[in-house]
Amino acid sequence: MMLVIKARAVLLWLLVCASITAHADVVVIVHPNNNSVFDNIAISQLFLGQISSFPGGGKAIPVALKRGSDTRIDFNQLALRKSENQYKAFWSRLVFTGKASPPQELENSEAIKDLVANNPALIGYIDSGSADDSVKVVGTF
Amino acid sequence: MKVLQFILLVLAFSRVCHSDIQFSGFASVVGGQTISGNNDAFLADYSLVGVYDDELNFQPETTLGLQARSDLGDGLSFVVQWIARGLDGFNSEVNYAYLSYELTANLMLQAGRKRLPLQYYSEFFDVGFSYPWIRPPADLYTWQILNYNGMSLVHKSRVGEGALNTSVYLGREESKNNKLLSTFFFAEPTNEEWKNILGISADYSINNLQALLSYTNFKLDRVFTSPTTTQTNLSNSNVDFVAASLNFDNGNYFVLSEWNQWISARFATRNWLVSAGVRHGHYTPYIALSEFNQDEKIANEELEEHTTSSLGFRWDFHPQAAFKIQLDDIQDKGTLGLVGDAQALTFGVDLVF
Repeated sequence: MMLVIKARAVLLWLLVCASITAHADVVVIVHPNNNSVFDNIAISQLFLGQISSFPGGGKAIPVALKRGSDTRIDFNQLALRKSENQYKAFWSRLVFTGKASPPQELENSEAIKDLVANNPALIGYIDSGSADDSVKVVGTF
Repeated sequence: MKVLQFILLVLAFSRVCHSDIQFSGFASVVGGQTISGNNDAFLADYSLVGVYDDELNFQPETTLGLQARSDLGDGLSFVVQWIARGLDGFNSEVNYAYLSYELTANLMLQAGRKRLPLQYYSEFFDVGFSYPWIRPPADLYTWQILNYNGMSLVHKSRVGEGALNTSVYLGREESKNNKLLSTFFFAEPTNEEWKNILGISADYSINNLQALLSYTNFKLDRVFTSPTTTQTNLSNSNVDFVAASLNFDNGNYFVLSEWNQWISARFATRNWLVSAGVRHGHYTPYIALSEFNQDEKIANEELEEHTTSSLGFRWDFHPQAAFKIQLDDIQDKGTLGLVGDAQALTFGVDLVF
């Protein structure tokens, strides 16, 4: 009986581990000198072109990952609540009416981190494993 | 100019200038026909007189758009958007051509040619991929002027936890031999001019809710120009246009609504739409109800009044393309008998690139 319970506990533990690795967090990063206070709504508004400056002031330029990245899919779903198609449909309203330009898209998390670390106007998202001291984490999804 | 010619021209231009020009675009290939009705006609697009009859036709709503954007740096950019429609034999015309300058991080000045932002879907009416239906319900988008030359000032800010986007616009537009008026309403060449256009709109978004309120005022001149005589129909006639939209969209389902009214000395209408849909992965079934309702207290004895009930389905079969099929039931309740009753089936593919 104990053996069965132990086996179940081990199985449960393995499942928990598996689900953690399958869903690595997405972190939102800015330049270390950026002192703005971010809430999740402001992050979403910045990445949807609804606001164009940081909550603490100063022009904000969002950068995103290219289509096909799991981190992009997770961020769009968790932070923006949009599927790839909904994201594209949303941005097509702004792009073809001159209201805003979509975030520039980069190849991978490292490329975003390097840009953000060197430019105080940028805000990006990367997978949590790629974050280090060169950038400041202001949101986790 | 045909589409291919202007694409080649733009490409040649970008080569010569060595400048960084970004291209993007959209297309809707739509076909349809009436399946019943009392005069076998379905007026799907009032402004450009896009009419389906009882034989399959791909001409009334098929549209291609190409946009070129040149970023000159320091907040200055220039955008041109050409549009080619099946209705015009795919001759291209300039839908947008404007200079954009960021005065501050939150304030943008634009000048040139743009779509006139009378109501919620006005500015991206041609971008089918951006909304669920085949077209924004025709009852509400019946106006004879679509663009204007002028300038606008756009401000973005955060109010409470929401985002507020306000804009002020002014300008003018003259349409010689206006399509809707000349070929549909008056059956003689008609020049339409909207002068001293001055408008303001405010768009507030918070979480899953979005509200838009806009007001536009202009003076209208209308002249009938038959080959032998010209006759003034309206001169400096004041028009007040108000539109309001309230939308809810949580990603899984949406409820969209709009109300608008046109008030001038001899003509007034109040119109509305309500639509709802559910997203199951890539599949989005939806319904829509809309009504155009001319005010009987003002002028005409013969009234324009029509309603549309729509049932449709959107399938996002590709990240940048969607297939749609829609059934529309139009009831003409007006004494004018403008469009007649019709039931129509339309289908097509919308894409963006």
